[in-house]
Amino acid sequence: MIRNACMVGLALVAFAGVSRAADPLPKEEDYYKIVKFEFPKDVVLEPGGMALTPDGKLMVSSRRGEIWTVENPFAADLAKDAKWTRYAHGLHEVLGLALKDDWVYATQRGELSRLKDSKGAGKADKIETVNDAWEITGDYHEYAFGSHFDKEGNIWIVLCLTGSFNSNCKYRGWCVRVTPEGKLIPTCSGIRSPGGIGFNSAGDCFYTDNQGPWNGTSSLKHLLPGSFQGHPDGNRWFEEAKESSILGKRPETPKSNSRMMVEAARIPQLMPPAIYFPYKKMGQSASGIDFDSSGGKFGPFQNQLFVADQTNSTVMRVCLEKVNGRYQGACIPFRKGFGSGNVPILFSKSGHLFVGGTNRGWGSHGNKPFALERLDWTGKVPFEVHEMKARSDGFDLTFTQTVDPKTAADLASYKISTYCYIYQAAYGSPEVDFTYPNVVSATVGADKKSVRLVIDKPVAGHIHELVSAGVRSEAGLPLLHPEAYYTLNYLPSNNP
Amino acid sequence: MARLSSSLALAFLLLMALPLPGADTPARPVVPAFERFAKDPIAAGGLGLVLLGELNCTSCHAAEGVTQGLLTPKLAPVLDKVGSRVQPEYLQAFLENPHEKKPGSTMPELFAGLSPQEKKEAVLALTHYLASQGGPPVNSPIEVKQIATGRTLFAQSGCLACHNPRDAAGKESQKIPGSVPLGPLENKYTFTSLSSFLENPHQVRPSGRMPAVLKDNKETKAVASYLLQGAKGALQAKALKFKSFEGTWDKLPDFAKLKPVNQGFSPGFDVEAASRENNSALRFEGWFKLPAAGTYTFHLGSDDGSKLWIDGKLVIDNDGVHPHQSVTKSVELFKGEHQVVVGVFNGGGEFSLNVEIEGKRMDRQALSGLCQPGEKSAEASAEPIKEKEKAVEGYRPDAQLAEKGKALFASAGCANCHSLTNGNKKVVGTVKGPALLKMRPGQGCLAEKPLGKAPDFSLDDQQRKSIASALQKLASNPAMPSASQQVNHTFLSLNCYACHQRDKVGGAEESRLSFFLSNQPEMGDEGRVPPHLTGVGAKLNEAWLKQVLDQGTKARPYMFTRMPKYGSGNVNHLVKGLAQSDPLPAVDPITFADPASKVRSSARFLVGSKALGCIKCHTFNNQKAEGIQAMDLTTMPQRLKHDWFQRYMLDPQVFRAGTRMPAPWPMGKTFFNDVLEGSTLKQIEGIYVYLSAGSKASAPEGLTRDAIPLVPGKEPIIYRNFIEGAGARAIGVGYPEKVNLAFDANHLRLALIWQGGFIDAGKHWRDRGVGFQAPLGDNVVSLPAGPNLAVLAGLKDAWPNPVREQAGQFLGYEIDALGRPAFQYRVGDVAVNDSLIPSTNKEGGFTRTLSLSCVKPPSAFYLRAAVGNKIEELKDGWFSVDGEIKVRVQGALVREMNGKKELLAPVLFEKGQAKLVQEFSW
Repeated sequence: MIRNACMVGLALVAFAGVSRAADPLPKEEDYYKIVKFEFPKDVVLEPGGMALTPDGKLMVSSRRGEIWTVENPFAADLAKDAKWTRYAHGLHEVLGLALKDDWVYATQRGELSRLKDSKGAGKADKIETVNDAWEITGDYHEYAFGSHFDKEGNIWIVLCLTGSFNSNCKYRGWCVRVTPEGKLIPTCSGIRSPGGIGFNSAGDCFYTDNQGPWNGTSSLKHLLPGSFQGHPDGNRWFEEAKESSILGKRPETPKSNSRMMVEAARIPQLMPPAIYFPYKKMGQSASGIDFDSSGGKFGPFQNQLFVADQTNSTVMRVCLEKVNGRYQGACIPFRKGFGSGNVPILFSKSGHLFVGGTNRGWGSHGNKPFALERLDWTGKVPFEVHEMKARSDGFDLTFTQTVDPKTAADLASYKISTYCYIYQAAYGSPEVDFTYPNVVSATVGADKKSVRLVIDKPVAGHIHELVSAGVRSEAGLPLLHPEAYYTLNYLPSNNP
Repeated sequence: MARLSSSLALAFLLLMALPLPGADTPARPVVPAFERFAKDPIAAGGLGLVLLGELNCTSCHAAEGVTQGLLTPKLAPVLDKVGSRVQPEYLQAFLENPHEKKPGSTMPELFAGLSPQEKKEAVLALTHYLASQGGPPVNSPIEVKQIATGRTLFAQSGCLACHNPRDAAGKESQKIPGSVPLGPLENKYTFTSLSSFLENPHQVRPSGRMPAVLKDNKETKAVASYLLQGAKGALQAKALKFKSFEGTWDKLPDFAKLKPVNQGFSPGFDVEAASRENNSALRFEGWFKLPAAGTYTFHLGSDDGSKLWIDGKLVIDNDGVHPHQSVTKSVELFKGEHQVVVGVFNGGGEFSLNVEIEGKRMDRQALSGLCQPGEKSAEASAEPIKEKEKAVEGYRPDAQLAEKGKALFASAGCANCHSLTNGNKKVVGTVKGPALLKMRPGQGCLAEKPLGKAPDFSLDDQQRKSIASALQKLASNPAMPSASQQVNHTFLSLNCYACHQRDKVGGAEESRLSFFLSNQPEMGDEGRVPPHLTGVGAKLNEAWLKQVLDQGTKARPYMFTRMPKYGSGNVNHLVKGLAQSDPLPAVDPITFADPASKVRSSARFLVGSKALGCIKCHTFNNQKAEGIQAMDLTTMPQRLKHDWFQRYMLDPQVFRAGTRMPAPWPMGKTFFNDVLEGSTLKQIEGIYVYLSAGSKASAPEGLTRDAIPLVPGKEPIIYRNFIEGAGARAIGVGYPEKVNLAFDANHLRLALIWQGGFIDAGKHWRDRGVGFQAPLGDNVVSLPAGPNLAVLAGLKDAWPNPVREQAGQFLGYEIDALGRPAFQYRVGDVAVNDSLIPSTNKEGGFTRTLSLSCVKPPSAFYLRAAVGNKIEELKDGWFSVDGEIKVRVQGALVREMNGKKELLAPVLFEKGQAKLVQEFSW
């Protein structure tokens, strides 16, 4: 016992590199460091969208309608080496940037535009409307978040409801795609109040929606063309949207005060959220989405999705799998402490994560009014749950480091509770229908990097909150983040 | 006397003919707590005691000692001057059969044991006695304009926590079990008496079961107008039916396809009937009678567009977006009834409507003066109104009958429950039932069918059982209940549970949840449903709690439901009771190393936008927050106990599960290590100290919203945003030359030009950016609505106002070397390059060069250069428009259209190309 404690202490010293007796456990910043950009004097840049040019410049759009080019965004000393140039101004709250050929595509409130610097002066002189076939009434909540290009060259745009409650004009509450030819395709209905849009490594499009009517808590949703994402008000435009061949019949209106999976069983078009972010525990306003495309340069999470939260100034990690043909999976805390309210995030192939923040109008834990930051991997691998996958009788966990077999096999190392949300027209929902399954067995895999958990019993349609507080790594460290929240919409029928 | 009874009988017949609201309300007395909790095992225990109180049993059945202390009787209405409040016809009908006239009433029937004839005589005598108390009721017409306000107040202030919801006409629209019945209000009260009852309900109903919700007589009059709009007599003020709609239009919508947001009656064609000023439309309908056949002239003026139909035919089309403009048309009409329908809409800004008629023998006058809401209803209402007037006017109490009634009032039991003071003398009840503890189940008023003189409360089986078990409990000589049991008893009696949950009991019922509303819907239930009161004794300062209970409050600015006034006598005991029930362990005293002034300034920093940003959500000293308008920070120490504040701030979720209030010190850790010694507890304490100055606390940083004027330097500034007068897809351009424009990319038109300051971006660049921003500078000229360029088959054709999809397509803009944008768009097949630059000529202003190209140009394509009431040609090709602005364009011609002058310039294509220069000077 005493020997063990000593070993833990030694391991920590060796591991963290800094030894402070009073505070021995490693922290997030030991693995991932936040590096801050400094803005030119008098510039207010509330990031809304980001893109990287092929020659390694970062372009950032702002809520105040500007687009800036930042040279040397990967520099170690950003204050000294980053160079800022204003590329455009006067645009309407740009919440999406994408690049193609010489054009910069900007999703404004009222249209998708493309901009070009035809004279090589460093600033755009051609501003063209690519598509403006959706409408706006002048309500501030009618935001439009735009994606990068998908494989077919489309840009996906999610259109917030009027006042975040109603669809007062065409395609509010829809996801639309704009084709390379500039045509608008109404693609999914049911959107409420998005915070970001992006693709996973397979190229499927996701967006985040926020707690409110028909949304018990914030969530990550898969924009499968033709699907209905849960808020029925926008379905009134089905008649207008019907030329879009991917749309079938107008979905039935869900019953309020029900449960998502009860309604999903009844309404085939209804797409249950792939991931719920439990309110407060994970965040309050889910926002930007991107996946780690660095092939390992960002640490052990290649191809996983990362999702920002505006209120909590955090970035969360998400691992997805397909069960019953639909995405579901777990979210796990990843990094907190960003300067402002995170909105867009962007991975570089070089393994850097750019994070932009604004807390104008919506407060955030980060107290700066706006921020642009870069998250760098220090090269050290944190001890984390790497993936959590559903099985018919429990979960398979994999870890980023080999585990201590004793604690990992100890049933007392794990606590599981399950709950879901009321699917209702009223705002948000408390967590309801709690169950507390017992952990029946915890079997450590031969590679000592996985654990098979059998629980009595998993509940389909519930979030499974797993706290693995007792598990230690081989080096004696606890998990950097012991909590994981798995959205078990569907229970897999067979175990592999 | 014969006159009286016949008019009473007539009124009675009228009453019988009305469909009685509450027909499916149970006949048993409705005691909300009993209705709600009788099936709930946790709460049902004390319900028998509640019934004994709510039915005021101890007024006949004496209770002593502890038993007395356990009951809080609901006193019956005080009947002083009842004749001035309640209509005699109603009194008579109600006394005749209270359970039928007002199902659910706690008033028992007293004369069940009498023969029909005896009963009739007794009731008549009592009616005469009561009607002679200060009668007859004063009446004045309802305030028709206030009906809509009254409806909102009734629906949102909290009335629906206990009563059934009502529709636009003031009729019950839904029966929710457990609702406290109101009976046929329009028969019972007059407008004046209902309004004054609502102003101070405790004067008549002293036990606080009906709390005072409304804040002044303006509100009580509005609610009384709403509730009594169906009364006879009220009809006269309702000349027109209206429906109001919300939406964004640039011409009058097809009302048949829209759902109204509100409807009701209006005395005139009055835009005040609209639910809001901007993006709003109204449809009025009524009937008017013409004394003779002939030519009648109608004048229809409005801002924006309107139309007038007579007998289903469109007579005047004054449609489109425009300032107030009037159109006049004459039509032949026959003698007699005609239907009039008027539609009007408003996009933004001024909203006006004026409908007038004139004829050969009829001066020009408001048409509404001739109108009734419906052809038939106007006829049908005439008769009863007369009868009603006669009934009230003709009412003369019979002194002899009243004297008989007075004796009955004392002997029949009325005076046991109802206090009535007549000439400084209180009528004393002479009925004495058996003492409370001597009552036997199944006997007297507890019998299934009470006989003889026993009052019949119409109790149902469960109520009788519940009372029996309470009596049994009382007989066992119970101990005084604990503080929390007493609190529970009061909460049941006063129906506090209708809104508040406490210790897992009560809270807004599922069936009423949707009535609780907020102006901050995104706060969720927390923003609309009154707070739970678990632990409230530990939370609120006693002085504040006392004030809230006694006087009511509206501390939560976002919540529509108000905490009503219960009257100190009814609720004072809760102050101590709650404090005793809800202990909170004391917090260790906190001392500061810093001097007091430093503590306050540090706390001020914490509250401000550079630190915790509390003011982003919380109002501060009545100043609005950026986002949701959460409770005023400067009222916190006044409301909240110090120790509770300390604990709450450490972890709000513990006290209010699901609150949107974030933990400012997550896990108890501060983000600000150099403030107040980096101690979380000292920071919380500091904030309490700082906010304790109340309205004198100096404002924290980030509270005031500063302007952000955009000032062009060497190059123009472009500003795409919501610009008032230029739409939601506006592109503003401010030029260094101090002239500015706004292009409407939705309708492909130059919308505004102005001089001086460009625009204040503060509205859009601070906070969430709500609303449309008007130009900052001077001499703002609004250019005509509708497209600038159009195909016109002939000069007699009106300028088209196509919907957006037909108008063309905005294509973007190119910026020249000086930073000036040239707009590009397509109108039909014509591609347009629209370049606007500040003029260099002596007139100043703008020079606009329109370069157009088209493979197959349209044969008659025009630029509409100006629209005005008066367009005059000046020297050198300039035209003056309404003396406000000068316009020059080659080939211009003036024409008249729809009562306006238009300046048109033909676009002449040559080899598919055309160029047109338009100059503005103002």
